[in-house]
Amino acid sequence: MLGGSSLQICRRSVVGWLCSPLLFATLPSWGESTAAIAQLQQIAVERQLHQQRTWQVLLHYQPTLFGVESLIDDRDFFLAADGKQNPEAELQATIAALFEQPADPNQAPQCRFIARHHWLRQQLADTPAVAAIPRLTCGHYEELKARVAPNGVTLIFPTAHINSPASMFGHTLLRFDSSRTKSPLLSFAVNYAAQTEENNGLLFAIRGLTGLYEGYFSLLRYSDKLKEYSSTENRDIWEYPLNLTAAEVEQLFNHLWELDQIAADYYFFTENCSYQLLTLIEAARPQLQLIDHFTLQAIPVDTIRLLKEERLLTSSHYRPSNVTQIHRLEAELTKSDQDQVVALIDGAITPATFVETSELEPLRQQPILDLAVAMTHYRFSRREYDQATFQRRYLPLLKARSGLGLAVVEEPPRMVADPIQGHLSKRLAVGIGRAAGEPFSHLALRPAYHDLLDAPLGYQVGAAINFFDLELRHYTESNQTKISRFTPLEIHSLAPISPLIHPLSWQVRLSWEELAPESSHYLSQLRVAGGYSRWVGTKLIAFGLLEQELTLASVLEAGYRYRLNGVVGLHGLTIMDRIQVAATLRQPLATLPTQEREGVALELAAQWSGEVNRGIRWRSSYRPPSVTLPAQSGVEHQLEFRYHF
Amino acid sequence: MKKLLVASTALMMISGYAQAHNAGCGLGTEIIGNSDSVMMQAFAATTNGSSGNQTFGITSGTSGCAKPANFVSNDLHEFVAGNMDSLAQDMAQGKGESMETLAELMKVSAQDKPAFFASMQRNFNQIFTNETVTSAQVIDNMVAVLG
Repeated sequence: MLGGSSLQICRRSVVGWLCSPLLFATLPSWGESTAAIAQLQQIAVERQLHQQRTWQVLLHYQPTLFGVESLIDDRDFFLAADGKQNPEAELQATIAALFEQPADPNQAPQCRFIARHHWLRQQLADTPAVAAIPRLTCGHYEELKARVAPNGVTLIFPTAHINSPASMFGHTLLRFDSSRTKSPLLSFAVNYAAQTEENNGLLFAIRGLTGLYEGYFSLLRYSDKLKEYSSTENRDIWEYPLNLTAAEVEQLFNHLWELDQIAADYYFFTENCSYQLLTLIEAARPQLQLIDHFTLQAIPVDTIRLLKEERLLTSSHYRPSNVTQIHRLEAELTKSDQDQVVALIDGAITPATFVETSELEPLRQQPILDLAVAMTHYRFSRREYDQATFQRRYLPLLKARSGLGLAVVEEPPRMVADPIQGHLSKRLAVGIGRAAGEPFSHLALRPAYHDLLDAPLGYQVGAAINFFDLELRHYTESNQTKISRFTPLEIHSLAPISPLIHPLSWQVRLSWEELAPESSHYLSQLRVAGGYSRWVGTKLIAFGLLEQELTLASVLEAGYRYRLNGVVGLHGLTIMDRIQVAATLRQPLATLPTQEREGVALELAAQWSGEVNRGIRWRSSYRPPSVTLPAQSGVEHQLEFRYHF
Repeated sequence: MKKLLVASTALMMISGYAQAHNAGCGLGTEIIGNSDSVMMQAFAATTNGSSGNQTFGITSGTSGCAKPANFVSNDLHEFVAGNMDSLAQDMAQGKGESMETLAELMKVSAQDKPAFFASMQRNFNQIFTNETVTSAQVIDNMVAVLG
């Protein structure tokens, strides 16, 4: 409308030659811009565009008590002063900002907020005023898009590292599959992480849990992420291609571009890597409602399960870590072959000499050298070598290996369960039991995550992590209902030693429990244990640990009791792959302050899991007579139904 | 504004990970991260913290590694410089993802790949000549082997 009448003026006027289309197109007058902006803004209000799902998703608005608020905390993400809480103002400001033409077009809002620009153009396509929006060349964006060439998205899931149960929740990131390159190593990965230079481990954890870090998206080569997760941190990786159309992939990329250097507060439990990735996927397909499912906690594997429910996952691909490869190679070698590997990596024999003097045929020498190479890499990743030492040991092994030709043996197919098939994260338990002769019924709730007796499918062997397990009991005879135990944190990391790798096993438990059924007193207890574990056969793990135990209780004369315990036990999978058992013996070795000599305590438990989310668990424990805490001695039995959801 | 502080030249020059953590341009540069205590590593995994540069500016170069004498694409040099260890390992075995990627970058056709892998493996000693070999030398050596 506006443009049309201007053209007419141009045709009729004497100085019509000034109205060349090029000139007109590149320099709309200030008046025309203002009028166009006003018109577009008015139509946007009429159509209530700010209420549309796509706008809400692109701006990351979430409902609050008083309206909405964006999850993004960065001032630079908003064009309106109150944009964080006001979708309408933000939309109006964005429309106006589309007309801005700074000297460097890359700084123009139109080029910074590509997804918003495209969507607004599309929504207002039928209005003449939309033609007045300048079309800028967004050089940086175009360059990056040409480099990344996104035409598919894969969800990447590095799982846990055995001795870092804090990583047991895993991590998720995205990979853009490229139309320009085939190899995944050349693709680019999208990662959301807290940005910090912190060196203190405890501060790191506290700040990460309480939102005191800012999180940012970053884009880097997938090969770099593999170096980090697979080689350095020795984590297995699962890859799940997502079922997004090319247009959706482009929209995801465009929205990611808008989030370059934009901060959102990072919360380990809630607004974490997996959560923020879901916001990107929602941007790709706004009809999806993903983050609504994760208000109290966003555990990575749960977010992947949701994507599967939404039919976004088609297949999965497993990428074993260096350590997993090492264990696989170990299993293939005889004891004497393993000894050869040790000799090689310890430098007792040089690789060249090994190849020259070995009686084994080349095909048998190959796995020995392969394992020596992997072990050298592993030791370097654990900082047992400096770079020079690593280079000195690594290259001769590779030179020797290169002379042995191709491996003819086909690698056996992987029989590892997909983590998303594992039991769900929250657990409810209902049961009955008997403690100190008194019967009780029992209810327990745990928001996360997995313990040593739960169905092991999809979870790492010997690793367990529990948060905020709350147990309530109703004692029938005394007719009282009380909290019998609250366990804020319990971690087990029973990493069995293998012929070549001897990791430490450890466990930690912080708990608050009733002194005895009939008592109203409680005690707090912290246990920290370290030692070793090993396989007994292929399904059971035996462990021996030294444990420090600190108990605080008002009923204790000194208020506290410190003990050094020896803990041995057995845990694993036995009959028909459905039954998990655990047996633990705990013997105090030294006690403070009273130096009492207490006997050994015993715990036995077994669980039968009909399917991963449902099980029946039996537990019996015996505590010997105690001078310091007499109320705690006795026998306890419990039988419960367990349900994961 | 943060955005304005970002380099306004045509090519984004900020190098991310590799520059922050690379200890050189040879073997033993794939292990990244600083030497943290076990505790720190355990907690680091909780927040997936990164002190590296977080922009989307992807390096156009090879993080300061000297270029090979032969003219090759930036992508090829960047890949070799950043993946020396796994490339060496795969080349010694005559197979593997790094070798597949190398073949793609060197535009080796599907039917030529088996011969390419075999040739690289056979000539491993001429390519990864010594412990301190650099990525530029590896590339030049590969080109020499391929003739």
